[in-house]
Amino acid sequence: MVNEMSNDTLIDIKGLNLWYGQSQALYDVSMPVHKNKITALIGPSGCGKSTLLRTINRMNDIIDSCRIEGDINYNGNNIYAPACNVMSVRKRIGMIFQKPNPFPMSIYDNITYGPKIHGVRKKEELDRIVEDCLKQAVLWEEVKDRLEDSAMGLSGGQQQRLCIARALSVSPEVILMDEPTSALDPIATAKIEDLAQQLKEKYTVVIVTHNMQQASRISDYTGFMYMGKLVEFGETDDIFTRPTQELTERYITGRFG
Amino acid sequence: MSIILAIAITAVVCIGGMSVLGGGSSEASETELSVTGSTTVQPLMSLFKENFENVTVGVSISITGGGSGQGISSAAQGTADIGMASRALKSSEKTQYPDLVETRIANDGVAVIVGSNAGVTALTMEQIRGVYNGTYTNWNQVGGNDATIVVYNREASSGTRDCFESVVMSGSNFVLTANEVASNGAMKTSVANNQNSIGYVGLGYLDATTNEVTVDGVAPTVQNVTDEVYPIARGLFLLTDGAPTGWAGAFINWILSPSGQEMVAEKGFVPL
Amino acid sequence: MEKADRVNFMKRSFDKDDLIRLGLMAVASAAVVIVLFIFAFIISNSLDSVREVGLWDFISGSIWRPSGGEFGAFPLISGTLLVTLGALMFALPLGLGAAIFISEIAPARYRNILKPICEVFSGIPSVVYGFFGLMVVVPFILNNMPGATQGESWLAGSFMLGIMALPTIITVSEDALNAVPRSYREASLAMGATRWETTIKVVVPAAVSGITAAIILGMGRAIGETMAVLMVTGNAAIVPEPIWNMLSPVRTLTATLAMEMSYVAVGSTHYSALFFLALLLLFIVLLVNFLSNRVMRRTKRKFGCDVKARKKALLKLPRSRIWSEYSHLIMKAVFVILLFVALDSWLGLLYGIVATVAVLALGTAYSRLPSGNRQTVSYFMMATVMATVILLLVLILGHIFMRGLPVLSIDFLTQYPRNAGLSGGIYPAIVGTLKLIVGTMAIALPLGIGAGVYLGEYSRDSRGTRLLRAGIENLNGTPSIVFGLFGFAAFVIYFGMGYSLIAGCLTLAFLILPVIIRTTEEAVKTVPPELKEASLALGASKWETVTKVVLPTAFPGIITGSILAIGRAAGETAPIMFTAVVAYQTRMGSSLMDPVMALPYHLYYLATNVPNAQDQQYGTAVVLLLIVMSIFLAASLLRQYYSKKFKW
Repeated sequence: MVNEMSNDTLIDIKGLNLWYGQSQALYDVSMPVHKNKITALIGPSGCGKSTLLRTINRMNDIIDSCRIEGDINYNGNNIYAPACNVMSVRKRIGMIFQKPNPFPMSIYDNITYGPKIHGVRKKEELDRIVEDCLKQAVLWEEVKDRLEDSAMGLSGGQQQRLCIARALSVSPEVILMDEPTSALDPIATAKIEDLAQQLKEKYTVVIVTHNMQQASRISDYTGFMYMGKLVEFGETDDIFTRPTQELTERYITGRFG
Repeated sequence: MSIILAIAITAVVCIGGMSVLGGGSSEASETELSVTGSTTVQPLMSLFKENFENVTVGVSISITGGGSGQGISSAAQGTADIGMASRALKSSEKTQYPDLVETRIANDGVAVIVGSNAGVTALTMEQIRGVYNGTYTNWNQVGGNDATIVVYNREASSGTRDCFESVVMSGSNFVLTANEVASNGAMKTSVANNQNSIGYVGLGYLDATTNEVTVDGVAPTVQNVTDEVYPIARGLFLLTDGAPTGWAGAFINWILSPSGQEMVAEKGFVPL
Repeated sequence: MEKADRVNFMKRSFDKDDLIRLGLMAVASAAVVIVLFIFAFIISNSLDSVREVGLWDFISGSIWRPSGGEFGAFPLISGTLLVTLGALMFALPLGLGAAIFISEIAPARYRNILKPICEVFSGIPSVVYGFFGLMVVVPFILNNMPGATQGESWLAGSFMLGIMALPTIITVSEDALNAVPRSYREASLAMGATRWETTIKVVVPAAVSGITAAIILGMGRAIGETMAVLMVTGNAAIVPEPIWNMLSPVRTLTATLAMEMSYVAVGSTHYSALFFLALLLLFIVLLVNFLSNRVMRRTKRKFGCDVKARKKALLKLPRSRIWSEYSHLIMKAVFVILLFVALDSWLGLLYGIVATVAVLALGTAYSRLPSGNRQTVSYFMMATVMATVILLLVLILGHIFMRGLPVLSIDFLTQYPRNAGLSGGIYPAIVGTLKLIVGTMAIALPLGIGAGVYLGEYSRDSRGTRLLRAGIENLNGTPSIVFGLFGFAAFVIYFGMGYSLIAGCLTLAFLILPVIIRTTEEAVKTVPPELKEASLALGASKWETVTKVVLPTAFPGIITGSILAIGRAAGETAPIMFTAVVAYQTRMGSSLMDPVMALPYHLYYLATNVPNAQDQQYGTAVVLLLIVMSIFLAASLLRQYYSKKFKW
């Protein structure tokens, strides 16, 4: 098990520091992300877990005051190297946001948005992508008859699955999920969790969650963060049953100041 | 429902209030002098009215339009104290209304001006008409340079246009593509700015910067208008039933005085 | 009544509070009364000519020759539409580009500078635009455009109107772009789209209803504009030949009104015909407003994300399969044809073909660029657009200030004009403008604030209230020249006020009333309900709550809105030219019934009537600009001051 770890590391975060203006949000974070596994990031609000997630596809770039030190190696390439093409990084590493954010377009156009951006023009090809992605996101049966309808008319859970289908449409390797179920009811949440389990066969998933049960249910690896630092990282079973740090233990047992 | 009621009440109050406000000024008992007729004279008359009322107590002048013909008949029939006309009485009118007295208060002369590249200094009445009704579109058709004529005209209610139209156009219509400007000054500026243009202004607007042309060989000067040799001109007249007396007499005398004639010049007409 | 029953143990509160309520209601209904007044006066005055000419002949007749009794308004209608269309063709790319630059491209610290700069455009009075057009644009076209025999043209009019529509288009679209949720942008960026792709494919479509509103508002401003077009379009009442010949002179409805109203004989057919033109103008503006509301509702349904739209979105969007498949091709074909026609008519057949091919080649090359480079090229283009907009502003203001500032002197500001305006100062015009401002405020503020408070605090959603709002809405879209015409017919003639200060103030007050009502209502509505509840819970009456809590809290909003409205009134020419002003005064009247001089009209008079008075013209323009801009500056300083002081 331990040997495998280093072999199937897809993303390797090394010595990452991040500042928003003057205030530092991440302190010397290092951790691996394993291929075809689900990695969960947990921790109290404001601990930096979302920030860390967003560094993986360089979404923090759009914040003017953000400054980053350290490396993130993806398939052995540093995505923060000056020569790195941000757009292709984001194409390979998709993202699902906290609140479902479909574009105000039709369902069809939502999913073809990415492929079109990246140069797919043929109608048959686009049709195939739409069907394929919606099926992977377990949404096809519900929407196949109204692909031309506005995506804004879907329910919250459907919208989130649509966003997942949209992320899949550009065939990424990694999917980052930023508290994807926090705006959803329990039934929709369960569906997304099932979906995440299915996705890991083809994709690598990193999920930020508030919900420790969720992390323990679905993830293979878990990182616990506190005050911008990665306190502990390991296999989920280990973290939840025998944490090495007292802070982790206090957090997962709910005895947290 | 109550709002609609409120709207109705407000409407009544507003109309009432404003009527009082507006009517307020004419409440004092004054002699009223009614003046009617030519719309060419009307703006000049408004100026007379304002200034005359300022220097005189006890008279209020009311002015209405309606055209020269109406001015003449109203004065003759006594429905107005003073009639306004932008032409002299025709002989038929003189026999019909023998008591009518016409007083010339100003002259109206219109000079034709052209752009610097037109290449003409003299035009005949027929040529000017041809330019303005669209018969001639190039300056070389009237003896000038080879250039498209850009025609400037005055707006429809202008007295200057009225004078120009009645004398020059003799029934034919202005070409539709003519530009229209709203004042003598604008006409002067437009013609000065466009070297292939033609336009017309009141005599008072001629100066060293304008290129005026002679019409049928006569130069547009105040002297020629006064002598009645310049063709694009006419007199402006006031008509009274018998020699003007009382307030009407005082008013007409004031108009003929230097201060009245100053107003004439101010409106762009030719003082006597 | 029922209210009285409920609170009968406290007798005093009935009479006062309900009286106030009724009073405010009456004030609010004044807005409707005014709209009715305007319509009543304009319709009743126009009947004669319609009866004489016939409705269809009037609208479709191709010759406008009042002296010959021919009243064909078709060339005037087409002129109005063409000038507006041309203005949009010019303002749309510039306005949208600038809005995109400000909202999506410029770094945050520049954003806060660029937007106010663009707003300065809207502070420039239209007569100043007209003056600039007359002095600079018209000669430029005459001397530089191939084939131009004269500078006064459709092109000149559209150019000026385009500049005037820019601030509306920029600020409203920028607001719309800014309001697009951040999550849309993030979603797009996270898929590997460039920022430019995100802007064009997600942000702009999401903001489309706001952008549509911006375009329509800009268009509304262009249609109703008077002074700037009057001074530069040549005013020949013809349909251009060929129809796309932008160098042809044209005449708009508004210019016809402004030119011919001044000396027309009251009561004549011509007089009545002018009122019919005003009615046509009103009709066009109302039609545009109506269409814009429909378009906005439809686009909202398609793209919007509010709850109501969401329900409707569940219904299938009616879109034929064929259209969706070939829409791209069809749009492309239409674009190519339009481009070809436009370039051809301008450059001639041969060069037109060459230019069309060149444009298409550039377009293809652009779309083949890698997305990163495409972004660079696009950013560069947007930055160029922004720079052009700013350059235009600098050009206009720079030209006027460079020539006008040296003219300013104590004498110029404090002396009467002499020699028909050729020399002397502009003292009475300054004083007259100030008098008009004060008088207008005295009438409009109580009415407007009263009506706004009524709408914001007292009104319920009923048919009457909707009627009120519709009235205010329509009043707001009415072109200022129509107010001028109405003021002339109603105050000057019907109520016998003559050309007078009071008639001008009333007309201007009606003009700005809707703005004041709206800002007051909005300001009152932003007062947090907790505050009102706190006051009411202490036993304060409604009126006490309104005067002691609501109004003081809403004061900053009300005052800045009112100042902006006053700034607009101060620069207006069309509403006062037939109601209050004279060109030349050698002594000032002291009563409300006396006419006044005013800076905007004085500038118009000097620019069109006194050709040799260039110094005086520029000097007047500078003084007018300084007054109007200091009013706007005061408003924005106040807004900043208060926004620091109070925060909700």
